[in-house]
Amino acid sequence: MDIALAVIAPLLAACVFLLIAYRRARKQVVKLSAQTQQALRMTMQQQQMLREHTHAGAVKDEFIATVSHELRTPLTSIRGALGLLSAMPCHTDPKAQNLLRIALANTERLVRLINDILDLARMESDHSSLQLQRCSLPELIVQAVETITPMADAAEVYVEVFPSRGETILFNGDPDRILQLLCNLLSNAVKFSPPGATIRVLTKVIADDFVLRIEDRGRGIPVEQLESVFDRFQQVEDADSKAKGGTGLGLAICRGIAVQHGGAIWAERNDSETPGRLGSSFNLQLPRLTLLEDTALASQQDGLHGLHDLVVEQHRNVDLEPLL
Amino acid sequence: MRRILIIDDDDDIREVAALSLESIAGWHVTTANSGAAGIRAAVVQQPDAILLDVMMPGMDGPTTFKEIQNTPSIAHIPVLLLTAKVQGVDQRRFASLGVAGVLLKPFDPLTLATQMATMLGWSV
Repeated sequence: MDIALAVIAPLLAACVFLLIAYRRARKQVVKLSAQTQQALRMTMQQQQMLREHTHAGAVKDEFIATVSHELRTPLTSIRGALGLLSAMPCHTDPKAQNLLRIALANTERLVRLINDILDLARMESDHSSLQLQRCSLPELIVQAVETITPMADAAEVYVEVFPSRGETILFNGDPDRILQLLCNLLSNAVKFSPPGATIRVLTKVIADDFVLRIEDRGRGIPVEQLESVFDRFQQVEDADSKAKGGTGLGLAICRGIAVQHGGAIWAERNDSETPGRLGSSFNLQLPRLTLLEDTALASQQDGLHGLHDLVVEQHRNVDLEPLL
Repeated sequence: MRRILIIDDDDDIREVAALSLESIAGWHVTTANSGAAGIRAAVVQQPDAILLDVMMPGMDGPTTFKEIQNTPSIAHIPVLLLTAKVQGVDQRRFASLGVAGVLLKPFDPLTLATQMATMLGWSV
């Protein structure tokens, strides 16, 4: 009896222990299973949200494309008809000619406004729409200056380019967008500089970035408006929109392009103590390609599809004085 | 005299573009209001160049261009696309189709012929 008890008791204890262990393991399995199912549900929800987000982006892109087409189509007819009418020799009446001039000028203004609004909408709808490639800053500056030269000639304003010292500045960017940004800044500089003035374009390498600066000889921007000029439909003076022919969206587009490229743009007042140097300066700071990165990019060019979301502190004070 | 076929579903744009090319450049212009009608007209008329709208109901510009290329009797005719899509990425996509050039809406009626001639390598 004692022997039997001595054998059975440990067996019973072992059974009880095993039973408890089994129940605990089973509880863990049930808990793990619940956690797995919850994780699966969350993954599916996130996938669904991603699909909906992608779909919403596609719908917005489609909307922008449709609006672009629907606005430009009637404008093509209006601009075309007015252009042909103004070229016809039958309109010798000065009043009729003036009315045609007004209609044409406002059609052009509407075209610019539509282009700018659509540019902004595109930037908001798709941040990955940049066509990135290795860009040479000096080459883009030359292109921008060539583009703006007829406008500068008409305004009797000169543009001088001061290249940076040392190696050619290269960067990874969308050349069309950067060219648009440079042309916007140069166009503003021409518009706001008096006849006979010289606009200066300066560039400088600062560590892993470069800074491009465009100095105009305009009336200057009040300090309290140096930031708000980059807001939509903001002009330093309300009359500027009409007098200068701007849409009030050019600088907002410039900032959008700079941020898309992981850079920053800001305005400064020129040194008012120095005679002949009044006006404003617009600075663009972007990450540049070092020689090593450039070599690596050349071999990986096809694999580049997006931009890093580098947040760059805005309003950095950059000393370009050594160049002057 | 150069002969141009304009294919565009918009009546007004067809008229303005035709008037522009006729009055400014002195070219002979015919028009069609759809891709299918344009292909039929091109086969019969054998124009020197085709100005083709991109966004049209039914057969759009790129599809019409593909059909033109697949039709031996008109495959040699240079095609210029006319588009309201002004994004660089769209323009590059259209240019990669093999067209002779891409023109943007709204175009300037006084310089349309010059732009076309430059793209086609014609003397103005």
